[in-house]
Amino acid sequence: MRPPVTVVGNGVSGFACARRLAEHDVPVTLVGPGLPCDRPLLTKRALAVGRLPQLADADQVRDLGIAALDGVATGCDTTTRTLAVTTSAGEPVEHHYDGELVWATGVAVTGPSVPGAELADCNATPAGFERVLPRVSETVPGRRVVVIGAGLIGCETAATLASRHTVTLLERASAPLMRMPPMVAAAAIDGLAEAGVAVIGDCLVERIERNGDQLLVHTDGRILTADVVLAATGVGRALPADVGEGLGIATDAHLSLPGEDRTWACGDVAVFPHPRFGRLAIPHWDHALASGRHVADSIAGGPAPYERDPYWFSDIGRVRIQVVGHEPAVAEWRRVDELLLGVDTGGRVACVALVNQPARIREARGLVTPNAGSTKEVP
Amino acid sequence: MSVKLIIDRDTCIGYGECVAEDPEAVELGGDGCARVILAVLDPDRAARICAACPTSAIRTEAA
Repeated sequence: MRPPVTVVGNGVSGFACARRLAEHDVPVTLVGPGLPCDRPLLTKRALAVGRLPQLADADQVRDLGIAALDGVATGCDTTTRTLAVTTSAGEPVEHHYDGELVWATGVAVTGPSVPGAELADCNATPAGFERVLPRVSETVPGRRVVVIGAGLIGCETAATLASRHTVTLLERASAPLMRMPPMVAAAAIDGLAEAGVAVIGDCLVERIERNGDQLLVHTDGRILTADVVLAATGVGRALPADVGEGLGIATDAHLSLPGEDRTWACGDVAVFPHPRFGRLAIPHWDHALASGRHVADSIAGGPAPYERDPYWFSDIGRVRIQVVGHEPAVAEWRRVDELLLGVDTGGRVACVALVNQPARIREARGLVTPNAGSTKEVP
Repeated sequence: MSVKLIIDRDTCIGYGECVAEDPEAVELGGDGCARVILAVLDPDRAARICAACPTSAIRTEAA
């Protein structure tokens, strides 16, 4: 019998990989804290319905034939093929992996680097979500919530919570989503306004203090009083210190690690060579699912390289944003037939953004990669 | 025989592929979750919509 594949990380990508391996009758051990969880939903639907978005419960994991190791990998010795794991109970254990190893930890969400940052909660991780949920659920409406950081996580969180709380969104740049195409950022701003979120741009948080039951957020221009402060300011490493570089791990076109024995990466941490856009990482749900399944298929014998185009979507209030392609490759944005086309220096469409036009996503894919528009979504 | 679409709101993540498959039958609601427009439809059409969902959140029942 072949030795089990060890998948490190039980978010969308890790669980997709483990599940697909089980479907291939490949034995698999899934390492991650708690139960598999769909983290991208933590900033929107999960907040709205007040429930952790688990991908499977313990019985379902077991019925799939997946062995679960409840903990976080803290180190890896590739010579002895040993993972150091700290269990959720706080116990250090060693996990020897004779079979393939798959890194699928995703990235960590970081808080602001200011005094009092520990007073801010973070709903973008399962543990953080469960901690803060009782204080922002629909049973306690009308709270004053300050969200720090107006990227996608902050915007989704703010717009969702504004249906029952008074929400202020603070952003260091002049406006939310400044890294997005201008028309997309404008649509997001409209969505936030319609949801009732007060947005303060050019706002630098200096410190957070407790004042009785309240929190005081000191910025460079004012002091905001809040019942709950949520941090959505950036991402950091979730990999052990001796694994990868920066936020991720460089892979080859098949998502395996060059020079390492039977080791793979998928999801946010995979930095892979895209056939058109060069080496990139895609920190979004679609790639997490597709790359997790792709690694499993590769381990089971599939020979194809991984060639998926970047794609992400977001709901900010009632505004749906969908972007396919690679925004950094865009030299110029054009509006054509209500599509936002990003064209590269060679005149080719490198990216298409849709605002409230979900029925046109396949058309958008076909513009970025001809013949891709009609392919089935996730293999 | 006609069928109706059932969307599992716990499983749907609002990917939108069902809407791309058949925008006259399904739409995205304000909460980002798929929502049925057509109350009943023929089984082949329904099967294509179900197959398009990457999370298998849509199934059919006899109408």
